[in-house]
Amino acid sequence: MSKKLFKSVDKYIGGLLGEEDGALKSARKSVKNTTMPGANVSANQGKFLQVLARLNNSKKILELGTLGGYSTIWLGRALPHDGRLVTLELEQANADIARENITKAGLDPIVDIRVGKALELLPAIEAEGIGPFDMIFIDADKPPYVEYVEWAIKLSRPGTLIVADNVIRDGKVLSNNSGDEKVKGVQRLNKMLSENKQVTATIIQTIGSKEHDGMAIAVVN
Amino acid sequence: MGKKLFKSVDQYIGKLLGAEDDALKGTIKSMKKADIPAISVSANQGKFLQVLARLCNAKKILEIGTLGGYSTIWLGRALPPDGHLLTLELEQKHADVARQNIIKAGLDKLVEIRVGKAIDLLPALEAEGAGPFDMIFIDADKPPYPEYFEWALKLSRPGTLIVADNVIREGKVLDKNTDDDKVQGVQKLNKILSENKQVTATIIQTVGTKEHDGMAIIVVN
Repeated sequence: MSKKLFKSVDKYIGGLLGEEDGALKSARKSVKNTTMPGANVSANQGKFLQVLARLNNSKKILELGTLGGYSTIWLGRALPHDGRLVTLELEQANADIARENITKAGLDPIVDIRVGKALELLPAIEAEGIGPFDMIFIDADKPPYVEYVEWAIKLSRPGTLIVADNVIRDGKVLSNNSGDEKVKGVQRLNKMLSENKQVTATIIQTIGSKEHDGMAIAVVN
Repeated sequence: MGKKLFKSVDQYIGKLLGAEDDALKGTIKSMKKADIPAISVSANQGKFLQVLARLCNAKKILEIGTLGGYSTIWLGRALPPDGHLLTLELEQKHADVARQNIIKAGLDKLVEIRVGKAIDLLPALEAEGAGPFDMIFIDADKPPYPEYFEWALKLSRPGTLIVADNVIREGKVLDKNTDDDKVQGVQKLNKILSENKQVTATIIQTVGTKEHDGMAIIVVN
């Protein structure tokens, strides 16, 4: 059991079930030019998100953290033609790259990219009454993860799926005296999920081509 | 990144989100006492199955491989009061122990255990018109996994979730020349999943308290 084995198995799974087409390949490559190179989900994680979206028959998806639009494309492809995906991105430069990728993937009619701080954009989304969303994927800056999930719950209905990525951080969440703001952010979230009676949740540890980490998966009761 | 860390993280997640009540704890104990192999899913995997069942709003679940009823209880608790869970078990002894555990969990009204070879029981289910099931969990002997999957498809509807456990086997699936018929069984399944146009599927690698393995997660199109 080693990193190398996890990577090889990830490739085996990807070869069978996580094929990227041209749009996904070029989206993945373009993440290099964003403010966070390499921070996109892996192909198999993208497929996993797609399977989850299909599973609860998602028609409206909200994504926090567009980056280059890689996960956006996997998720967008789970939607029906009249579906809608709203994705929030802090950096204008990333949003521009994402827009190009989403257009190449033919998903521009259903994807709406909004640029700005998520915590400022979310109240507007509530005010507009776009919700409730069927699925909400949180893959953004870690310190406000609790606030993001609180917003996600506000914009949900019973049965909504909320997924928050990177909540294990190579096991650093085990440290009770971490000075790392990212670790503290996800520790707070994990604790909040365990105490919140509005959701049924678990965390799966993720290994593969990326570092050891975890995804929180919560269903709104 | 190592086995010890995965175990520690599994415990961290379990404490927060995978707490077992007396019925679940008693199930594990009862299996030890009856000398039933300790190959149940872990607590966090049980919770994960429960979250998936909630996600697809499952009312009718089919389980292939009851063992001591541990995963049966996690799944049964995802069901509404008028839900139904049919679980198939080869060994009469396992079924007897499982029945007691399911009664203790208060789920005997929802759960029906059938004893025999799954391959013989499945045609009877079809003949009875027992399907379509909303979720089908396959966790049984590995060589006939492709056949179990074919039966699961027959007993499904668009949107049905099919989960097949233990499809990575510590990475042994990478070995093309294996003569292990368990490995061969899941290799065949994984290949079928990649070629079958009736489903959208992925495999997640699993680590934690148990050996490195994987779960296939499949939605019927």
